[in-house]
Amino acid sequence: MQKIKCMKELALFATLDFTEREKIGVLAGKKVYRKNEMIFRDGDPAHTIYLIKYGRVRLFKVSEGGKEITLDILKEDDIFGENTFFEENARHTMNAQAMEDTFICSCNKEHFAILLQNPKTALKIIQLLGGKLNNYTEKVASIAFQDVKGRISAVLLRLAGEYGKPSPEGTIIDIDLTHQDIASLVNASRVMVTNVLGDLKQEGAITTRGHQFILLNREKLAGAIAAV
Amino acid sequence: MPAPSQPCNGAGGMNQNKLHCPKHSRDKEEVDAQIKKMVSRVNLMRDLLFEIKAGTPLGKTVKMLLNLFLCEGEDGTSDLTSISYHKLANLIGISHTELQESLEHLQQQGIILYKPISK
Repeated sequence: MQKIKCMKELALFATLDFTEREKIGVLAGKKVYRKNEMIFRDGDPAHTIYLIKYGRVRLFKVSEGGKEITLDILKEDDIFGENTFFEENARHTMNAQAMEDTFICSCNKEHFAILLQNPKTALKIIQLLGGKLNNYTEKVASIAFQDVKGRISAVLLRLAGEYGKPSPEGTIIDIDLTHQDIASLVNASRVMVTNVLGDLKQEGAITTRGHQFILLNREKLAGAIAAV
Repeated sequence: MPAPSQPCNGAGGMNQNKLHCPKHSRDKEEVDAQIKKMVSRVNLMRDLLFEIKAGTPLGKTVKMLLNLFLCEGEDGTSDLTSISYHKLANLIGISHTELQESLEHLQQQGIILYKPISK
């Protein structure tokens, strides 16, 4: 029952009936990854699809110069490892690391193919992939067109959309973010990020509480994005 | 139990039991094809994101082309016919060979379509 409880609470399978979720429960594995624990590395054999029950996972690649380039930060209900799903003898082309204690459900490719036989699950997967495609396209455009301030503003607004909680002050981005985390996301130096965040605070667009950001004025952030 | 080689609907077979066949097998193939296509596109955009972030010749080329195409002409198209390989490579900050390889890669991936114009 624990496996079913784990999987059935994933939005991906919300439309399935109990019998179908029971089938999934049989197929699913689960594991808690501790903070900074690697889930898989670039080059590892890729035969598993992962689904995040709770926690956060960072996907990154290492450049030729040895720099870690963050590609995405995934959260509850996200899937990953699907990028090599249709390849035989596939290997992962990136690294996945838990950013905090993260509970992950998983199943191998063969079992996942069985799950895809359900049209509702397949449709949900297509929707998830569509969301990912939009997300990556937006990131490419953001980095290509915007200056650092615009990129940081865009990231803060996006994170507010995903993790934001309303408060009397403004929208709290309910995850801990260091300046280095933001620097990795927007492809800028940590020093530059610190300077820009200082500017945004002075302008009254944001404030901070520990490692959490609070959006005070979304219009000011949107204005920074539009100013190319 | 019917043998696996029997047709799904029992046609031509003596056994009345039906084999389990997925409903709408053509639809299932279409769904699989759609998922495969989406995965391929997600991989492509993620790879491009890495190239741009890592500052590779390919990433620099993509970034420059995006910015060039942002400057639309009056009819909504960008005329890049006056830009030579050499000039574009200089603009991007990469070698002529790196530019050519990048453009060929982008063309193979279906992102751009280009052809050299001989003057």
